[in-house]
Amino acid sequence: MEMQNSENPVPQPEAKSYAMGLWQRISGVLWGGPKIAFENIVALPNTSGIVILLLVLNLALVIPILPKIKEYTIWTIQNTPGAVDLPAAAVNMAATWAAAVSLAGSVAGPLLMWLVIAGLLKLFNTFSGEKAPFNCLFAVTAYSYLPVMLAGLIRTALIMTTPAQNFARVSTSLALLLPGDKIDRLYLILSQVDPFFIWSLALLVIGGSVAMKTAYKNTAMFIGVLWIVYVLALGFLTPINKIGGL
Amino acid sequence: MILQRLRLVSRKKLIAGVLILGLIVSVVALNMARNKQQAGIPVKTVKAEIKPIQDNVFASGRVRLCAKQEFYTFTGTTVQELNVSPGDRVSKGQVLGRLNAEEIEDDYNEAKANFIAQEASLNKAIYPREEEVEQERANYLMAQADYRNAQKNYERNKLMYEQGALSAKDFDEAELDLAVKEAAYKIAEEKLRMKETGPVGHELTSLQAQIEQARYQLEQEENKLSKTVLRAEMDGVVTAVEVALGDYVQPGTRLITIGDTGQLEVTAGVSEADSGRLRPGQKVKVTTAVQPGREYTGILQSVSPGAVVAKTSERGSQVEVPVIVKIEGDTEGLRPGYTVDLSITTLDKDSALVVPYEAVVEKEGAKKVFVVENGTAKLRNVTIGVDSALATEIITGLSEGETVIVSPGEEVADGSRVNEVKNLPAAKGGAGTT
Repeated sequence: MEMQNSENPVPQPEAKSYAMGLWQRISGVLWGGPKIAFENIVALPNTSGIVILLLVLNLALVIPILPKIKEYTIWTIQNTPGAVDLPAAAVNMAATWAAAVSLAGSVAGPLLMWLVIAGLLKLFNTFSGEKAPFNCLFAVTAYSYLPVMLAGLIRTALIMTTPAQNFARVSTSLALLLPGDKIDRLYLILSQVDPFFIWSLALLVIGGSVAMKTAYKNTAMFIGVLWIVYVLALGFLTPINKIGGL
Repeated sequence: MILQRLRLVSRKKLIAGVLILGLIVSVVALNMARNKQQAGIPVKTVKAEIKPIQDNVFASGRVRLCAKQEFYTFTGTTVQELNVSPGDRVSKGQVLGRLNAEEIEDDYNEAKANFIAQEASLNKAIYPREEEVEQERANYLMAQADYRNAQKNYERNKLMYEQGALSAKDFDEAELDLAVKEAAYKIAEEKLRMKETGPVGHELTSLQAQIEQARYQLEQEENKLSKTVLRAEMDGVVTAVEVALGDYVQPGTRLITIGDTGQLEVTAGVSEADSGRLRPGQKVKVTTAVQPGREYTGILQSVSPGAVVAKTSERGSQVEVPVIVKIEGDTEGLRPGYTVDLSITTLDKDSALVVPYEAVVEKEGAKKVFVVENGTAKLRNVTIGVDSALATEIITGLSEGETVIVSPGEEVADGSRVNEVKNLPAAKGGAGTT
């Protein structure tokens, strides 16, 4: 079924006689005018620069908080009610593992996420819009991740300035609006509703629509439904008794 | 046109910038406000609930007959007659079998003869015949005459000897004859007295003892003889026949067991740690793998005043307190010797305000609980009532629905910020989780 419609078509990207630099693209996506920036990205999808930058930046955001991660892991193990007393060596090993997994996850996590999202866009593109190459969609996905990176920067700064026990309480999601330490279904759902992530999704809608030449509405519908399913699935399928540490 | 567009873009950028800045500031502010208080100590919590409280002690035991009769051999012999088979109903007085009694009859007859002889000896000693008394009297008079004659003879010989008319040798002979006659006279006198008065003192005691010994031996032989007839002393069912007709059986061999299968009891050993909660009269649920899904009822009949070492291993000794449970009501399907599981109800209260026993702590000699109020632990004095293995009854100091901390660690103090973790497994008979 052809999803492209004539009611609200995204204008064809103008043929640019020049390629925007990495910084111009970033500032354009975040602030200066995402549509124009994405038109440039789609026209000349150079992904290596943004991917390396984001991964290095993400890694750089995790490294300063590694001591806090270890400290929080030890605190959690020692304060879990009913847990078996582990030897100090085992606790330290667990903390080291947690730090290592965080470090590896800071690189592998975003990369995997972009691949999945780009894949989903490609899937959507098979029955909607004009065929867009995968690297083009991947580039759009990576640039759309910039607000999430901004949230990561804020979280790192906050974690560094708060005691390790509060590690899990640091958040940029709407769960911040809930009072107290109570973890319930609403908390789990709101913790998935992050303004920075929504900003990122909005950029993805713009970029995706530009790349696939689809109406914003259609792209937004596809991405919005997926996101809602994702939020509700996490909110309702995550067992509350497995969440701790707040 | 271009200027207008630039203005438009600048205004959009300004609005976007303000929005982004506002978002960042809001997130930071909210986080800072939230993290002013440190994260609470993770604690398990439950709500105090009004519910039945029950406690049970579990043990395994073996079914046996309440009343039974077992027949054993007391001597090596053969089975001469066998009238019953397992499962047969028997009535009191019924002869179930006989053992060969030939040798025992011989022993019995011998013992009987011995007893009669001993009895006759005593009678003879106590009640002599008149002729015998007269005979002894005559012997006595004759000995008396001989003695007097010997005295006179001695006096004469003495006078003659002093006058030199008699040799010293003849005088000595007369003196010796006097002594002999005197002794014979005294023996005859004593024999006559015994015949006239009968045995006295130790003589009589000795004779009586011999009779008692003979009587005891006779009774024993009589008892043995009676035991060769296997006779039921109660109405019941033959539960075991462990010999066959013609078998030679050693002393102490069990031959036949009868009992009332409608009256069964269970003997079991209860761990010493649980024994303190046992009281005779407590209800017992009895189950067996032989009758799956079926439940029998019983009453704890007795609790031994002493404990026994049931099992010894490398890890140490397992000490148990023996108990007896009487099965009540229908016992169909249960057989003596079955292994059964017992659930002894040591506590059964229909309604009580309960919390898990791990929620109650002892501080400064008083029972207390930590109650969670607005994310803060509050230490509160409570009065406890009965307690089971899992739950404790709270009489005062706590209300239904209040949240208490289970197994509070040492880091939890009055006023500590806590974070409720809800992964406490539901306790059977205890309080429910929040």
